[in-house]
Amino acid sequence: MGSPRLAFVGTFVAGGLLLFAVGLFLIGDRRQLFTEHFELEADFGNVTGIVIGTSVRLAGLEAGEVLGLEIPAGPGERFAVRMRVREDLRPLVRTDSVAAVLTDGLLGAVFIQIRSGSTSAPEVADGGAIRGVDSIEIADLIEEGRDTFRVVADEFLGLREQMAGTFLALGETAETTAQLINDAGDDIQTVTNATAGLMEDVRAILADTRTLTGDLSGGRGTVGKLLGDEALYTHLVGTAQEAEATMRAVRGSAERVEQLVGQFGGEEGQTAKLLADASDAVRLARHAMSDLAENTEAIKRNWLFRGFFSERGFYNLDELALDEYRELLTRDRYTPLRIWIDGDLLFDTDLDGRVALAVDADRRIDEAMSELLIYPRDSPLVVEGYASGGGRGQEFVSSQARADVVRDYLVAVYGRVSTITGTMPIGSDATESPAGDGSWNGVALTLLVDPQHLTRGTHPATTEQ
Amino acid sequence: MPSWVNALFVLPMARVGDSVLFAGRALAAALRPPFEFKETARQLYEIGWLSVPLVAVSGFAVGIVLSMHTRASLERFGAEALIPAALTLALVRETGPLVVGLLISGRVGAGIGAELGAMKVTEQIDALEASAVDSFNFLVVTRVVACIVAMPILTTVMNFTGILGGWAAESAVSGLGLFSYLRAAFSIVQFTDYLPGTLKTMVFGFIIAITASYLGINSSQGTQGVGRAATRSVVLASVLLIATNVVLVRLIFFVFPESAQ
Repeated sequence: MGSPRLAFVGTFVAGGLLLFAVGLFLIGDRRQLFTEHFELEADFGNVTGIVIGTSVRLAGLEAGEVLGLEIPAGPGERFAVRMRVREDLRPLVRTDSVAAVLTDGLLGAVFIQIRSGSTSAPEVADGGAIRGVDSIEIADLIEEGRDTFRVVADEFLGLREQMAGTFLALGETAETTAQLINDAGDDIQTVTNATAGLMEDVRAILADTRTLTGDLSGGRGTVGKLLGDEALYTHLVGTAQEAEATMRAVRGSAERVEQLVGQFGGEEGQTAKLLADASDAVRLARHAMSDLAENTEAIKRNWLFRGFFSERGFYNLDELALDEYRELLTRDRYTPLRIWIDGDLLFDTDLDGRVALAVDADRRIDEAMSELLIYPRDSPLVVEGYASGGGRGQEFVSSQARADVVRDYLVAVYGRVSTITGTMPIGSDATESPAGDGSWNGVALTLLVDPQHLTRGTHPATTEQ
Repeated sequence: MPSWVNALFVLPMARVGDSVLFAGRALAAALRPPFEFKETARQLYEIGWLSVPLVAVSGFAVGIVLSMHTRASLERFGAEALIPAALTLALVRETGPLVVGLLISGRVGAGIGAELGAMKVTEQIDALEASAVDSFNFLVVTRVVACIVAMPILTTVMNFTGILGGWAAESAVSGLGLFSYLRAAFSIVQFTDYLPGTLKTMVFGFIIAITASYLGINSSQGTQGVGRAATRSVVLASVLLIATNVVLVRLIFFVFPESAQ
């Protein structure tokens, strides 16, 4: 055998082994086998999808992997999951850090996300433990989604029937009105046009709703379909938005009709009949309007759409101006429950001069939160920051920093969903503060509770800690 | 004994027994001197090196096709980011080893069956024995060892060219860079996916070489028998390879339970 052939054989074997080694290196590098690690443990009630080698992430960074699972001794106890985490990330893992089992998107792999802890807590020792938080399984979400769509479908169907009644009344009014246009003059003409326009709007909504409910009842409206079908999703959300717009139109038209009712109140005959019809129409329109409002509100609060609506500012607390926020508190939709916490013992300044929680702050916040924990976890919570002294600008900056620190604590320790846990830097003005002088220095935890849930507790409107 | 029993049971089982003894003899001889290094190197060149173009081109094409199919499926769920990982996992775990096994059973199995069959019918094997050369060691064991060594290497070539093909297809659609693709490709692949998948092809290599050598050395009836030996080598090796793969996958799941996840 000639030497060129031998060279080819050598190249084949060496090259193959090298390529094989590259594969091993790529896998080893991904598993960070070549970096220093420390071990820690977290306990979970549910370990669906976690296996040896499951990825561990910290603040989105690849931080390590699962080394093993310890099966609990009996029912009701939790699984201990042992993890290996990169040594250079140890300063971020504190004793109050929280681990949660998450999924990379809807179809992605399961991984464990560690939330970095607070600066006041000590670093986790090698072999130490942090708290594990059980996450909702996607199967549960899908089941919830199915139920929600059933409810939405039923609600829309009910709404359609009610709106049909409204059409009839409005239609009769419009026909009667048409006969009387010449007698009643320009004002009636205006009402008729407005009513006709309104009917077109509502008809369009009903057409959309019918399509949607048809899709749902035809089995095409399952969560799987919705998740895979952007058009249907957009369609449903668009319908909700349209319903809101129409709701406003109904309200505007109703007010105009009401004004006319007042103007024609003393007249007799056909005009009086028109006005009686118009009054019925207004009443029915208002009823329908109320249902529309409830439906759109229900959709907004649904887990699937919450993100969509919050992105558009419905619940995006971070984008609310102070005046908007104050106006929000006056609405009937929520009842604000406020717990005031004095800032003197709550905050400290770290080595970099930044606002941080004082040593005993967690106990104070925990006490305050204990009064709010009886209400639904999906209630929006706003950490109002207050600070006095140093001018308006400085007050704003300080109150924002204070609110941020407390909010981070609530998100990390209480697992509050960040999109419904906002901050509001207010400065020093606090007309309702327990100090009695119209100012406050600290924070207030304001939970916006749906009034129907208020029966759960004593729900003090304001409490001082 | 009735003739049909003889035809349906005794003779086939005798062939099976004979081939098992043949395989055992080859294994034992492979571990025992004298070692035919030069002939083994020549077989490695024939079986391994000369198969590289076939495997590389096939791997690249398989990678493109897998990428296109994976994209079509995952795109529906908005999970395009998983395409590199899904493709690599499919290639490394099963597609790469199996496709290489079938390709080599076609190219090499037919070659060994025909070559040894021709040597048998032209009495070259008898001539080797007359020259005091251990024909079994020289002809069979060298081919078996070459196949066992070449298969994992060819599988690695198939895997990487497949990944390259996947990248080529993906980059044409999304413009993804090679290194980003490689990072994503190995993001969920574990050692328990990579090592057993690659190393099980040594068993495939053994099956291909033993089947082809056995049928070649036992061929008869002249040139017609040579052709039959070549054809049977490919068919039997492919079937045995696929059937063995089922057992091997089950065995891998048993030894490495995490690879079944």
